[in-house]
Amino acid sequence: MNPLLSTALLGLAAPALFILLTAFGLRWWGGARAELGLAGWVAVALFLGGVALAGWPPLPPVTTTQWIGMIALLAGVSVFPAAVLPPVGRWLFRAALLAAFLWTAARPKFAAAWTPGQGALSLAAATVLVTGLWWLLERRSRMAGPFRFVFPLGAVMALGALLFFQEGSLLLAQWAGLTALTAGAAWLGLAVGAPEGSAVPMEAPLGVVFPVYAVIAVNALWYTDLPVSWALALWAGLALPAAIGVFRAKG
Amino acid sequence: MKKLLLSAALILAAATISHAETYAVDPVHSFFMFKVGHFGIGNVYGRFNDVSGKVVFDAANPANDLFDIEVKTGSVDTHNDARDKHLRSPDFFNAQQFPTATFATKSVQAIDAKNFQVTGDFTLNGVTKSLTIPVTFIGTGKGPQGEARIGGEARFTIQRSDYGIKTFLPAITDDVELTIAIEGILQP
Repeated sequence: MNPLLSTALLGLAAPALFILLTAFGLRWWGGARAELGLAGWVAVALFLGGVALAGWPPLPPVTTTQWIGMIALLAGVSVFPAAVLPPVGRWLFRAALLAAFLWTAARPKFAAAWTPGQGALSLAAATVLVTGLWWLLERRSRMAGPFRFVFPLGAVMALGALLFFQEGSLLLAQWAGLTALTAGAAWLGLAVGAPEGSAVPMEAPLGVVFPVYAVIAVNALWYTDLPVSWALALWAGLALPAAIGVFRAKG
Repeated sequence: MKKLLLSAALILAAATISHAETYAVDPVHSFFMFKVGHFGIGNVYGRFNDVSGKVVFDAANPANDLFDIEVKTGSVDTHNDARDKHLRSPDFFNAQQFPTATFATKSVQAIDAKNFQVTGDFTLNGVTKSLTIPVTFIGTGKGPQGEARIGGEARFTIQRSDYGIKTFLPAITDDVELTIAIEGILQP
């Protein structure tokens, strides 16, 4: 078989199919256990998908892209403490986690391009923006169902995959494609066709996919030729519809 | 008179101990090239356009020799802009995270007057591995402006996966043949 095709099948299609079947099975289990269980399996699927795409990462990872699989696993573990925290504590925990994840991508910039002040400011700004976006999407999905989180996120991840490929990195494109397919498969398996009121919430699985995609996106912004305007357009495409939905519902 | 004799003796002794001459790599006449297999069909060749470094040559004592080379990974050139963009990305040379690839000499062993085994640290994509490479001394002479020059060349093969570069394996071969051809200009 063509090596590129076998990589795509093992690294993209297999994890998505696994998550589709797992989510479909878990929907009968129901509730928070199914949600958290699926989040854990999403983390494993992303990690193993990454291994199929790019090989086993060294320990500790050397390049920022080698961190992405590790971040998936860490995000998978993080959904369990996040689930028992009160809302403010949960968001502070998530923000701290995002700062740590984004720091793995920012390390070479700290070493070679940024002064400590610039670095701290850039990292803080990225953390606040990404956490704010996550809050907005989750708020929107609580109001109008998980599709309102999954669809725009999946669309932006898929579009991101095309842009990252266009701007020179097949690896980041494949990672973005993997997150898009996994999020889509989780939603298909959990929510589609579920009887009214029995659909399992998706905050925890998306709590794995979202930070992983955020790290992929900043990698593309910082280490490929992706223009800043395109990166901002991608994030704005995610934020604006959610913000309009949230504020319209409030108004 | 005694002082003068003593000074002369010291200078003579120093000259006997070391004839090490330091040369700066001439970027115009130095090349860092690579060759990699493409889908089992052919080979792709490329080069790094920005080469710098230092060569120390001691004819009397090769143990003092030095062959330190640095290339800017962002200067990769395969005569195709789209491919060069991909090669600069995190998939391959990761030029924004690791702007340089270097070879730093640790020891030199002379095989004969022209051939040396140079052991050093080769760093690529943030990974450093110890390598022993064969370096051939080509010659010395004067350049067009009368400057003293030295020339040499090294050819060796690395496995790119050792340096975390695994994209398109095995369609694009793991073995990458490197050629470093250096001319140095004697430094005062």
